[in-house]
Amino acid sequence: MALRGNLRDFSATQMLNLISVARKSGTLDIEGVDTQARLLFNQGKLLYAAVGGQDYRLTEVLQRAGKLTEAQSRAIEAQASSSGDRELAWLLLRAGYASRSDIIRGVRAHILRNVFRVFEWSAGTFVFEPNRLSFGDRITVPVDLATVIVAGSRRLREADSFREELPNLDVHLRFTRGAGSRLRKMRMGLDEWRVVSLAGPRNTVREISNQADLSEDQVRRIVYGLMQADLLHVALPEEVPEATSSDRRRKEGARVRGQRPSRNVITRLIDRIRQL
Amino acid sequence: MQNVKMVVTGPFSAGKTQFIHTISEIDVVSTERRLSHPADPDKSQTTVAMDFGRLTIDDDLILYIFGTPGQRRFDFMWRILSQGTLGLVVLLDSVRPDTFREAREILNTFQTYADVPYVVVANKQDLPDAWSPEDLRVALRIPRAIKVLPCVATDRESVKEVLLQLLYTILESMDGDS
Repeated sequence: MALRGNLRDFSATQMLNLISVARKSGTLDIEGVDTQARLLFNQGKLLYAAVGGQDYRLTEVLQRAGKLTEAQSRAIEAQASSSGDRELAWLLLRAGYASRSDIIRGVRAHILRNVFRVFEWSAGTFVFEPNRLSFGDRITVPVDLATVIVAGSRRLREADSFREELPNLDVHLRFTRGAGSRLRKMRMGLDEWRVVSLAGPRNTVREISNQADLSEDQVRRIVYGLMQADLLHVALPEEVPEATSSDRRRKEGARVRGQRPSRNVITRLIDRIRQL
Repeated sequence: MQNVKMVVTGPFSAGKTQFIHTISEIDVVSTERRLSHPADPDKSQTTVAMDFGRLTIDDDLILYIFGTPGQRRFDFMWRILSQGTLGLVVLLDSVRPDTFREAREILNTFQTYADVPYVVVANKQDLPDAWSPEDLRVALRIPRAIKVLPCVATDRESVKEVLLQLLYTILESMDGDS
């Protein structure tokens, strides 16, 4: 079943988080205001990204990445019998124009450049078609989405989204299960590492902001990225060690109390509803 | 005679009135009013105070089911209706991602303030392009400990299953308390 939505209601970042956490495979087509994007995923990893219908061949990708000169590119193209990337890669390796790691790095940089453009889109529609994967003979490189989301969040313009995700800065953050090992493999900037090192039961987000010398909007942006990458979440009240007594009184006052019926009442309800 | 109640809440157009109508033994007492500016072309009326259904359990016990209004300006009603409830059903419209943001706010409020067992229900699962319960769990950051159930509010069996799952959740919370 396809997932359809609007970027205003469900951002590209949130969609990437869903694909990553649910380890989805398929094609995400985004129709932005001026252009469109196509992203392909396998088991929650980004494999390929094209923006504006531009489907660059490997030689063009490496030339744009500065790994290949125009003359080298022309020479390889002249030898190729098809436009398939695999043949071009083989010819590049044989000619000694590029190494295997040059090719992987070049393709990876191309994918990231394209996907980061999508982060800047705040309007448009999307359709995710599960299990539809078609990239012809293009070379794909699996890219971890957590890294993409954290890095991409730096480019987000919509400060409103950060405030919506984190309206109150007087909350504690908690790492999600498995976040430690994932963080070790990620490439993050200095500010992101500072926030990560201060997050946890010791500090509220406001305290992190003060200690890391980041503005409220900066810390919101970073926390937003880390939350979307499923590395952090806002701690529930029971996960926070000890609230102040005034906090506790305020929360208790606002709390909605349920009814505590007897077990017998619940089993009678269950029996009756089963019979309906 | 003992009366107990459950509350059905959720964003605008999630299907709360229909959910209660499907299970209630009386015609739902509804406070629907014509929408002045319909946000959904298929929906001309909306609940402004509450819906109200009833299910007789036996000679000594009656279950009342209340539905809260979906529109934000009636937010205060859910607090009033939720006091003293057995549990809450948070209904979501699985085909309307434009209501997910509001659903998140409702769920955040529950996680912070509601000392009441609740289940989250992905309604309209019979419609094409309905988001699955598992996708909604990720999209709305619903913790693993909370049940996210599929539902078609027009189908009695589906609604029964939701209420049963809520009752099992209430039993589990009693086990946890003891």
